[in-house]
Amino acid sequence: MDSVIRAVVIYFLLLLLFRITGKRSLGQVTTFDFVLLLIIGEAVQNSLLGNDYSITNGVIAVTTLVLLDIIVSLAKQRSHFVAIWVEGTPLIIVDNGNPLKQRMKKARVDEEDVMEAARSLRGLERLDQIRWAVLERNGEISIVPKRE
Amino acid sequence: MPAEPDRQQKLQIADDLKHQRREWTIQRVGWVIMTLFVLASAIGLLGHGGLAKQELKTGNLAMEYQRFARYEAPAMITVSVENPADDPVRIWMDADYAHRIRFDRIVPEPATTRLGPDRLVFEFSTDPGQHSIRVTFHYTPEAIGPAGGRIGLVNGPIGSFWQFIYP
Repeated sequence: MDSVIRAVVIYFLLLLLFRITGKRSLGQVTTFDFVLLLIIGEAVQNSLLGNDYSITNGVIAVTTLVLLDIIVSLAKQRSHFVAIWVEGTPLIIVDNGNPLKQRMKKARVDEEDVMEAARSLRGLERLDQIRWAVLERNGEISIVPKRE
Repeated sequence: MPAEPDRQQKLQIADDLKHQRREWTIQRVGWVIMTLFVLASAIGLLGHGGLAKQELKTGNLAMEYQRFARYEAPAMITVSVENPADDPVRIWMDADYAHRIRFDRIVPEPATTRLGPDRLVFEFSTDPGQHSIRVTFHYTPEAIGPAGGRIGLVNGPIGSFWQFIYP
């Protein structure tokens, strides 16, 4: 029972922490972020398992986490409310070549981030070639170019 | 406010600016809470040093303990007795508190430990002419939440303390 409670608490605390961090931070996983994620995993390991290093305890923790993930994904599918709070919503940040500066500032995205996505995804050269840029729920920027 | 994107153009997207603004506000509040949490931890409000340490003196009995400790993490209580009247020195701890912790080590080791109806009594032998003794109880909290305890000398002063055990 203790292992299940630990896993549930850790799951929802991490979910909350990563949602507070903001989608942009998760979208740009740099090498350092990857290392940071590993350290976070190490840091929660003990609180997840306590002093019980048995295989049973490990399997209980992993099963609980995976099951919770399934439950949350089912809840997201059935409830719009859960979906927008757990996943967030996409955000238009460039409209017909015009950067929506206030939104970009709030979402911690700058024009260079948009242009980086425009260059790498669409081979575009200038902002005015972008019809839509959307900050997606996973933190990535998707680009819809203007029609020629 | 930025101009709303032209809805007549055909971008099928489930955006929700009202929700997004609410989320941004919550995020900023979350950042403040995270900062406060880290600061509270740095000054010892979440245990381990700083404000977590507390000293108490009553008569010839002095104690140093942790006001804030953590579940299943090492903690200690140091008890000092100046000019002990008895030999052996008998220090007691109330049983309710003792049941909430796991003793890891007592330095120096008591000569005997006796269980009374509501207390544990530890006896420490001293050399003749010894003016003070200092005993450290190394322990691990095994219950979460507020805990009150009492430690005293048999036929002597009693120190009451309060601590909070974080999960």
